[in-house]
Amino acid sequence: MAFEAGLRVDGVSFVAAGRAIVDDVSLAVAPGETLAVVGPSGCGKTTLLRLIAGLEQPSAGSVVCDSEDLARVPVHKRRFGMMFQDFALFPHLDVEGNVSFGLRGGYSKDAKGRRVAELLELVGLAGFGKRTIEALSGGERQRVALARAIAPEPRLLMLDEPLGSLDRGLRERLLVELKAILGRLQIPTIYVTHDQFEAFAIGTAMVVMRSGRIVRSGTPQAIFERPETTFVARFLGLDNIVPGARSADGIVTTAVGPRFASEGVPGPVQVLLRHEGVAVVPETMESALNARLVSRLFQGAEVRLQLATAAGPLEFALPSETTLPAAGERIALAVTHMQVLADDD
Amino acid sequence: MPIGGSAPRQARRMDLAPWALLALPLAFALLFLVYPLQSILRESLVGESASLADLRPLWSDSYYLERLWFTTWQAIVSTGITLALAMPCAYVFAHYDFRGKSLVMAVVTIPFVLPTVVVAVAFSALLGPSGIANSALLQLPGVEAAPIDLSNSIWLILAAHVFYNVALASRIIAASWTTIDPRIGEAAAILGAGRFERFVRVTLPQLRAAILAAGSLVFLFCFTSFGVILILGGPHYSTIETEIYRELIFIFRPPLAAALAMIQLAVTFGFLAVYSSLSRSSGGAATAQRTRVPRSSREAALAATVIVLLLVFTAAPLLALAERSVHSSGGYTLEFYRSLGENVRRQALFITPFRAIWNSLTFAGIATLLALPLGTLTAYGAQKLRPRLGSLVEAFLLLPLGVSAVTLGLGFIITFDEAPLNLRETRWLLIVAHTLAAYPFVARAVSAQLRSIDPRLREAARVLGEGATGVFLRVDLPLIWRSVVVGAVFAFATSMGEFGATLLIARPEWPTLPVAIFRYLGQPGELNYGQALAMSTILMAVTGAGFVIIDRLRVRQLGTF
Repeated sequence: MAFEAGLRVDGVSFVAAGRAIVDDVSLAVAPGETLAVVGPSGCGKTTLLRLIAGLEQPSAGSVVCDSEDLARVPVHKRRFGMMFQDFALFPHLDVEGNVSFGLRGGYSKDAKGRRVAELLELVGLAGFGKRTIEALSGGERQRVALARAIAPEPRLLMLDEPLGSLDRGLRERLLVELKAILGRLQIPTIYVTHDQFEAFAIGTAMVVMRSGRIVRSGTPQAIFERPETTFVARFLGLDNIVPGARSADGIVTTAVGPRFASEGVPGPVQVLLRHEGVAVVPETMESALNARLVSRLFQGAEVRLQLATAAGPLEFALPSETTLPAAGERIALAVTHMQVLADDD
Repeated sequence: MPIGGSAPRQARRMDLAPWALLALPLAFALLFLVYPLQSILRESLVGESASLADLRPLWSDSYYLERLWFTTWQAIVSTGITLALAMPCAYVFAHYDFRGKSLVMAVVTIPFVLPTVVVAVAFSALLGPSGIANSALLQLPGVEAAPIDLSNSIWLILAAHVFYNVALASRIIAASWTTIDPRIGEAAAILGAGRFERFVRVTLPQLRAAILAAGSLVFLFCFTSFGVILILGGPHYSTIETEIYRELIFIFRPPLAAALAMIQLAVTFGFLAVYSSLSRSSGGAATAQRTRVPRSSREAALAATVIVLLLVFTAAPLLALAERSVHSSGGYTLEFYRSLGENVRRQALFITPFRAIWNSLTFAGIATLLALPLGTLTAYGAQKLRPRLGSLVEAFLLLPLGVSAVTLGLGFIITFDEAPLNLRETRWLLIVAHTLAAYPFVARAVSAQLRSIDPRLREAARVLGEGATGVFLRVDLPLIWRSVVVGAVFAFATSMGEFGATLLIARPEWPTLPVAIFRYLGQPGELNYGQALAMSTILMAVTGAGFVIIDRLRVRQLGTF
């Protein structure tokens, strides 16, 4: 068999107490790639990471890294790097002790010191070596955890909700830095998160998990543009889903008014109305969406509209300068971006 | 100038309420602890009969140096063995769930509340010359003399010390072990550390504070051990503690006894300081590691082996004690119990064992009643002070825990034997000594619980319209009463088992149960030994029953004692 760099997971399952926590998952990550694994909490993302790390033993399937089957390789021999949720830093060691923990064999004392300094420089914590973990802020701990994970030059880097416990502004800043660092390292990386925006920002590829299974994979753009199922759409925050019906000649009519052409089997369908690309039109216009304007949320460049319709509440975004009726009055919108979704909720 | 800068200063005005609460405990401790200790110091240095010549043997006679050396090394060895055995137990307790776990934890903790006299007698019933092990071995063909001769051997002392402390040490270490985030070990594994390396580089450093705290506490107990040494050790193995007793009672050199007591105090206070600073620093976040059932058969075998060995080690001496108490050379009999109320030897001035049991129960009852308000006031007052001052005051009021029993007895004898406080002729001296030994247990139990009450609960009650009394009755009391009961049971058990101080103070007319057991052990003959066993069994049952109450209340504070 030809040598294949990176990680390959083949048909891995994990059954605990009669329930499949991870169910027949296959995926591959090559050097330079970052695979974002997303899904709601409890979908088995973290367990999947633990299976790859060797912290749990799969009930079926194989984990292969650089063409080596890892079934009989214990955790500490796998040469992986992992960043835990809440970081799991060693409380009894200082920053330097944490970062150098995994540097073994081969390193003289001097080389160790140089490597630690280099890594702290990389994560923007130069000079922090002697600080205690307690004295660090959340963002600094995150950087130490990253430096510790990449110090031994792992074959695979796993990040489990690495920004999960940080506040929003800090998260966005660290995300940019993290992406830059991952780009420089070229280590195959798996990034687990429940936040779709993090996944979009960091992933070169993405899988969506649900109840232990992978329900969708592709590039972040492709998945966002064509979510294909109601579950994926809702998970990505695309909530404007209304029932509709497809006629024999391929015209889909939604329960709230708008119509569009779509090939397929005639009958009832679920339709996604995208937030963006709508315009206010006169109420008389054909196939306009007629609704009552419940409220407007001004959000800077755009204004979000909350509408009450025959099919329940819907939400759209319009440029802020749009002239709008007062809250409580009726409004008509022309919706241009619509997709039929497979109903898997 | 900052606006409103004077407001905080106003809030910081002297609050007298805590001191009103603390007045009683402080007065009690000053009169009955500090004053006697000061008398010992004076006696050893400038006592009226004392001159430096009296203290001469301390440095001229190598005997005392040897005593100090023996006291220290037996304590170190006892502590070492205790910790070595406690580690696997703590590991199992902190990691695994199994059926009957709480029962196992309760059973193995019983030794901790048992009186020293009982423990000593139990070991003699198991391994002594007429103990259960020897009589069993004598049944074997070809065995004639008792094969196990541990009488007056160091092994019996060490075994008793380990028996006494191993559950305590396990609990302290296990409590800390459960706060270690398991992912930290996993992080180390992913970084390439194998099982052994993880233990040395990750687990041990995180347990360091708990191990040192447990170690210093066990060392303290073994360093001042009295009953075990006196009963199991014989004349060869005299420690500073038993030496103080000997100097006072048999050789009658109070200044020398006082000087020895001062040396011992210095050591114990040092270790007490180490312990309290460590136990404070190790009280970290309680992100409890989840315990689970053993997963592989290897894990199950490990857990089962550790538990079974621990149970056997704990139960064997106690069962041996109970068995020997109904066993005479003629077979099984209740004779030893029946004769407890009789003056078999028709001695003048004889006090029946029943009388001693009655004495013990009444003294313990009164001491507990006194210890309850003293301990609760201590915990309450200290908690209302500013944190640093509060812990200082609390540390002072808990000092009786660190003063050895014999030192306390010595202080009482030389202090309260003349007007205006001539208490030697009254039973009150004994009761006060027991109260002094007992109230810190109440204080500790209550203060641990008080600290765990979210202060916002009281604030909420205040906002809802409750005054100080209402807050106490409707918020504090419902939350602390279990701890008060636990403290009371500890206080009662402490008083029931108090031996060292009582032996010095008690007049022959009112011996307590442990003193009576000790006297009967010193008399020759099967009946006397049997009666000592019977009384020990009763004492074990009474203190053990108290422990069952504690366990029923499900207040898990033994680990943080």
